[in-house]
Amino acid sequence: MKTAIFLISWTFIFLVANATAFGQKGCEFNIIGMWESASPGESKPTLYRFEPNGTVKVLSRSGSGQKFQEQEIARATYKLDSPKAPKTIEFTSAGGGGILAKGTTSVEIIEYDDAKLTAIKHGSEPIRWVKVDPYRYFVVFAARLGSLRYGGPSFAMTIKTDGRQNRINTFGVYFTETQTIAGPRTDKIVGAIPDEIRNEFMSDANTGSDTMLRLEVTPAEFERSLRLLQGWDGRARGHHLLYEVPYLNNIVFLEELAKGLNNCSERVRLYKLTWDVDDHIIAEQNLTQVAFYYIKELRQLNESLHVKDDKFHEITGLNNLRRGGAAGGQ
Amino acid sequence: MNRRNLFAKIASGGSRPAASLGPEYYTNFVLRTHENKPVRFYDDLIKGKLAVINFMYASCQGACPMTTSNLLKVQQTLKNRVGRDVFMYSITLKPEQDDPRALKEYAEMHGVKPGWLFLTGDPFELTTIRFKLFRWDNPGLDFDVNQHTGMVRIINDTINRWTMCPTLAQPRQIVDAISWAEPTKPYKVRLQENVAAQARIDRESQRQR
Repeated sequence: MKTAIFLISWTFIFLVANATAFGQKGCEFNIIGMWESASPGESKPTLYRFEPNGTVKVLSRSGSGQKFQEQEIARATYKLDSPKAPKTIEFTSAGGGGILAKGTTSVEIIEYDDAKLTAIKHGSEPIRWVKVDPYRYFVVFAARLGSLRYGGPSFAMTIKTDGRQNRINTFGVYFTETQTIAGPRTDKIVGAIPDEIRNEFMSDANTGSDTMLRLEVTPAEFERSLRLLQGWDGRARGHHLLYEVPYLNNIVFLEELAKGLNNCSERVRLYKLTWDVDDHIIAEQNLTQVAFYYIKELRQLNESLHVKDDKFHEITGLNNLRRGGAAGGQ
Repeated sequence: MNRRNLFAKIASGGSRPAASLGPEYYTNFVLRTHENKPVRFYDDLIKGKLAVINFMYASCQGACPMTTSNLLKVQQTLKNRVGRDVFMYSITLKPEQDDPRALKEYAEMHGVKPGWLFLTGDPFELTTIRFKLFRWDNPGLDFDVNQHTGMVRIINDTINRWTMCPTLAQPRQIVDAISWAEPTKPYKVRLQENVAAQARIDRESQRQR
């Protein structure tokens, strides 16, 4: 039975002239990772791990929850006609015999996005593949209103968690106060946010002076967001920030991050800062507080997507940071 | 390695014009020319040079074709100075679309002569470079690609002199703007050039009457 199911799922031979593959414009496909496919007639899904070196392993999974075992049942090489926008995947079996069919087979891709892929085999129902990942990913926008003169800290966080270990990256603007002979001095710093400030936003105070939008995202959305955050962090460290005014850099970063979440699908409702008189945030708020009101606007537009504290803390364990708990490894 | 080469290597290694803002300002991000050659932005394109830089993109239907045609006249006016002591660079605003091949086609379509480089690269890094050269301090304008094709930035790295000029100005005016960035010439030379320039202005006025 397993052999039959395996052979069926492996014998996707089909070049359908009329079938066209598509993804959204700007959405780059990434096949690397673990995919779960459910072919018609399969009693349980089959797993495919696509490696960067062009090999693919077919696995069966036994057990449940966190205690499961994977067993390799076949191996082949694969090739995409176009790595970032594929229309076909070509498989070549490493060797004959056993359960592997020899030779080259092609699968026609009819649609894909960050986390799903649909392929078609002639005369059959489409086969859906879903990307499988042990981690969960979050992008958090957070800000404090602060004073009219300086504003408050405002930043974004990317969080990757498996429930035990959390990897957190931050970027934004915050302030330090030092006492000088001439009196207190406030410095505005653009860069990674200190842990003590970041930890204050692991819970959603949801007051008039603190705001946040916490989104669970796909692995691809997370990678894009992290890449952008690291790029800006590199700019800050290399003294190549776009503007001399710290607030402008931060606002541009936050808006780029929000837009980037919609690369492959219209997931997040955005507020577009036009920087003109028709923009109620720019027209009515002090530059020092624009980031706060921008994030507040995003929260209002995406309240249904906001991950509430109880769910977030259950997934990440990041609810004891105010009492000095560890945020987990980075 | 003999002693002469060793001393020359020590003397030239890491040196740059004293007044220059250097790679700390300009960055040494690696771009690609329309000949698909990698170049470091400061070390290969700016260091010790008189650079004339504008922004464009190959699919631009607006000002870019006119700008490129106008700058071609500037290149023709400068004759063999371009690529020798004046260096012209056009950097794409749409690096996702404009790979070296697309830029080469654009350059060939416009009849661009050697010495003028069209450049592309990583979008994030190109934005960083663009902001080093041009900025309104208004994100609404700074991130609108159509706002960045109208001016040409002229930089003389040896004396850290910056100026700029509309890309659609008369070619002669752009050449004059380039000359403003050049090191100050001896008084006698400037006097002779002023006399010649005045004579040209007088002739043009006469013609217009």
